[in-house]
Amino acid sequence: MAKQERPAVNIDGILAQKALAGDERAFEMLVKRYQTALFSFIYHFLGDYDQACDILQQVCLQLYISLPNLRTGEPLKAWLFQVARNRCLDELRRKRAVHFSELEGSTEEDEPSPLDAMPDSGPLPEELAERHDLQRILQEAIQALPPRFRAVVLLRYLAQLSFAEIGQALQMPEATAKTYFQRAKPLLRAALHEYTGRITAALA
Amino acid sequence: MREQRERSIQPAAAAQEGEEPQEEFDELDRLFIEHLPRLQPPAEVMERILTLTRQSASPRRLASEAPRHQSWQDGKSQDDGSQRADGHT
Repeated sequence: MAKQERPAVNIDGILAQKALAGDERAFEMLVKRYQTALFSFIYHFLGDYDQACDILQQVCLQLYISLPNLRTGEPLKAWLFQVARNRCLDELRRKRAVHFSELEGSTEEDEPSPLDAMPDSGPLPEELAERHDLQRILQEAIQALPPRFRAVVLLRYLAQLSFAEIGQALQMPEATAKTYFQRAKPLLRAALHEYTGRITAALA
Repeated sequence: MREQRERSIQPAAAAQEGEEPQEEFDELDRLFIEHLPRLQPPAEVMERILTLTRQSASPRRLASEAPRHQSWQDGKSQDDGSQRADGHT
């Protein structure tokens, strides 16, 4: 089986080197390569849109000041998610310490949802409502996971990292990442059970 | 207490050597992959990030000025949470 080259590594390295040399456009391109995956990861990890914005900013600025130390031949993606995960954990810890009750109120229905800003291709209102409902349930299922499982699941589903890459990002052996993922799945299934049951009943 | 060892990022050796088979996704996986929303960060956030970096010193200078800044490779931790959570601390 032929090995797959990883063009992302090289592109990251080239962009990082250019950015380090003062090419602002290169840094912008570097950020844009990962902004959606990073922001989605952070948002789903924390469940807080405004904080996700703040943390994304922190991660990107950390990238900027870390450029001189980056090994451009190594994957940047795992490093970025490692930074993001650490920032998220710090935030969760801080919230628990200072505003524990906020965690419980973070899924209020009247919060403006970032999902509202997502483009859609013109589904019917019923379909839109159902899709929104499903997205909410998926988000809640993710949010209900223990943080160590949550990080693995999000990296797998949102960034579609390999378990080796997840292990790098989360500083754990690849086997542990796999184990966490497999342990998380029954929890996700259980969380979705009510929803799928409802759908099944509706289709019956 | 959370583990503080922040190891250097190593290449995904197993994956690069083709040892890791492509894990297949089941129905549950596909449900999340297809429906868990990917969110674009607000444009103003991205603009702010780029503005901040444009206005700041070069990365080299920032890195040299940053106290106890950790190397990409040194794998040590920071006690200060605001500095530590940088992915290589």
